[in-house]
Amino acid sequence: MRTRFLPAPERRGSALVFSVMSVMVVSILAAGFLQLSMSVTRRLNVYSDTQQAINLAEAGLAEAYSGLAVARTGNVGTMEAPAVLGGGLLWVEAEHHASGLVELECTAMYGTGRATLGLVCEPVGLGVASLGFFTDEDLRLNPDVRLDSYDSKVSTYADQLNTALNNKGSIGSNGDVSVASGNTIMGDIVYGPTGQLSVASGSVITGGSSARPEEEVLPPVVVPDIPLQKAVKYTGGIPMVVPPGQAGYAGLDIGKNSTLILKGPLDLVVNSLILRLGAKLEFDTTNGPVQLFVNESLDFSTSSVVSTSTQVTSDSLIFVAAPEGKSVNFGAKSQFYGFIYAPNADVHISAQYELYGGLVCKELQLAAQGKMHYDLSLGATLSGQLPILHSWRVVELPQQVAARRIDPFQLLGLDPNDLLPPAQSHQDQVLDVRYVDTSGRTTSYFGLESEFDWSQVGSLLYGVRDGIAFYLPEDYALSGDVANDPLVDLVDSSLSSKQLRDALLAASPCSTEALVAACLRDPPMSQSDLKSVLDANDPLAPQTLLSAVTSPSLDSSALKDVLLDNSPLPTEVLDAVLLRNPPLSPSDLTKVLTIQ
Amino acid sequence: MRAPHRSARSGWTLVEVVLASTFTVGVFAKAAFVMESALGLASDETASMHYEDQARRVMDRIGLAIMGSDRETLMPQIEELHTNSIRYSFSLGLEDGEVVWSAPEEIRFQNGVGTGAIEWRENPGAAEERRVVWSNLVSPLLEGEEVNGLDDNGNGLIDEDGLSFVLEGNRIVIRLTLRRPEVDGRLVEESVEHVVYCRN
Repeated sequence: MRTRFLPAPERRGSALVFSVMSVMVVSILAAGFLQLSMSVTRRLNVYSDTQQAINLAEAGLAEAYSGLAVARTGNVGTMEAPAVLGGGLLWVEAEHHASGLVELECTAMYGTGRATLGLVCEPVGLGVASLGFFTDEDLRLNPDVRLDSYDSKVSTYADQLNTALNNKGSIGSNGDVSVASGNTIMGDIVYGPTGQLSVASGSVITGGSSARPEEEVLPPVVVPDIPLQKAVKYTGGIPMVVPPGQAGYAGLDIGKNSTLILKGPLDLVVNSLILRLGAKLEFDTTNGPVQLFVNESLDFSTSSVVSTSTQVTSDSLIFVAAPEGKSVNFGAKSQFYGFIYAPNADVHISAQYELYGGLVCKELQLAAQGKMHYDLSLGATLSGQLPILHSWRVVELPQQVAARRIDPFQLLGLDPNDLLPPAQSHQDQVLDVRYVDTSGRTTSYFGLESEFDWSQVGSLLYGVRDGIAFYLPEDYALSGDVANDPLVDLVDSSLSSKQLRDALLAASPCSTEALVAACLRDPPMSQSDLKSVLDANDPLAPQTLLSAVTSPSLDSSALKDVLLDNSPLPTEVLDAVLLRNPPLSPSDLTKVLTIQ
Repeated sequence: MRAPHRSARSGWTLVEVVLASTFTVGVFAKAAFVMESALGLASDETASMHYEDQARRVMDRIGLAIMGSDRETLMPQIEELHTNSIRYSFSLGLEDGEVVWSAPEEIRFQNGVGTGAIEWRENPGAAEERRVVWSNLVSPLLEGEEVNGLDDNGNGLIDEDGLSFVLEGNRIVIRLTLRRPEVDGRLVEESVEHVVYCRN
């Protein structure tokens, strides 16, 4: 049987056409909805990214603003190393103006969002006076100079000699600092960012030293717009009095044995001021401050006298607006309680011009044996006070930020894991703190804040950033927590045994801590030097006697004399004497025990 | 064996053709209806999105402009009542050590035929006045409001314009309704409300 296959019937159905058309219609609709959905998402993302960027910029501004309250600079991160926060990044640039106002601008980037916000504020009480004694150029100190500190709001300088407040001097420069032999620097030294500190032997620096993170910018002197009368050459026997208010002279030349009295409150502008031989200048600040503005030159001759009627250092202010290269000469005999500011001038100060207050100038020639005492009350104390807010604004985006709206980390080539949060991205500063650490020990740190571990601080006793106190208890002067006992620092310095003996004898009566440190000094003081110091401080406290018993400086005979001078001895001292190694000689021990 | 005989009357019967045609027309009609509905929906959505976008953009501009202004310089200073214009100055930052403020600017609602406009003016009324229209799709009245002396939309304001400002201390409540008749006669309305604080 043959099987015959029939041809398949023709398939003319249109199901496929219908199917394809249906699929196309559905696809077109789906694509349309997808595009719509993506467009909505993109739109919402852009909106939300921009809002996030604005929020980040606000957070950055808040961080910088509150930072100013604790003596931070206001700079947080940089475009190259921004701070990371909430998946975005930000940086704040602070510009400090001569008027005391600070302009903060924070740029934030989040996804495709960008925002720059700015504010203008006025930190409380900041000023160049916080720099202490400062020169814009290298600072070279002549031999036997003494620079120290006190707080005029607490008591007089004499009352605070050899106290902790006497040990907070602030010496700084934008360049090198050279300390000559015989110099006594009771405090800290901060030299320029690329500068160096050189210390000659026989000099003492009781505080720390550090490079400043960046140069200080000295704002120009703003001379009030006061019309100048013609120059006056005064030689009269009756004092010439410039009354309170405002006054201006093309020149003031005070002749031999004549007197010029400036009565506050007064703003006086002069092109030049000269004090001839025996001439006198008095700042009468009984009723208000005197601000003296010098446009060109100032010359106080060697035998002239300058005085202030009060010891309020913020009331007698000398501003020298002399152009670069000009020298001003403070050769007069004076105990000047005030502040001198000469950002462009070379300042010459004689040994007899003893300055209580502060000095900031371009260059300083301080004569050998000169003395300057920094008044801590001139330095700003913020105590956490927030700056005064003057204005807030939306700033136009910087071009390099606005240009490409892509992921900021990708745009700047940064890994978020390498970046720090805003609180840890503040600009580095010189930190001076005294604190009780987590083990209960009181200790100090002076140096760059980036190198300080805040986690070791149990409680803060005193805190200063770049010379501005951000933490200062009201009773700090009484508690003595601001600094070490200066005599302890003296004992720990590189002074020779003889120099130390002289310094301690001059400062006697010394504190128990200083005497204990002297007994246990390494390298030890010579026996005669230590004995002289101990003799000058009789009667000695039990702690001092205990240290004397174990002191490597004293032999059996010298120790016996000290013990006899302070007999009868407390039991714990007698115990220590009996246990001493090496023991006292039998004859010395017998003498000591007999007298008890 | 012979192959089976095939009828010469091949193809669809009339009934089949009628049924197929009816079915096809039904399917196409339904597809067209779905398409039209989808396109209408998309068009509504697009229009609504467009106006919402525009409303938000305009609102952001108004908000940012007013946010940086000095509260004391705002005009009018009437609290709790609504106005359709606001005059302000904002901080430009520091110049020569002092805070500098901008020339006065004004944002106001200008009523037109059918729709109104938002005008931004610098130095309003002065010879050097500059003006820019930020939007010309503003509804004459805020959404839901009618001119009848009543608070129709329950926002506490009576007969407020399509752009209104209400001062409440340092807060400024801004309300805006954009609207536009579409080609098919539908009226698309979009309203936004924003609260800003004067930062200065």
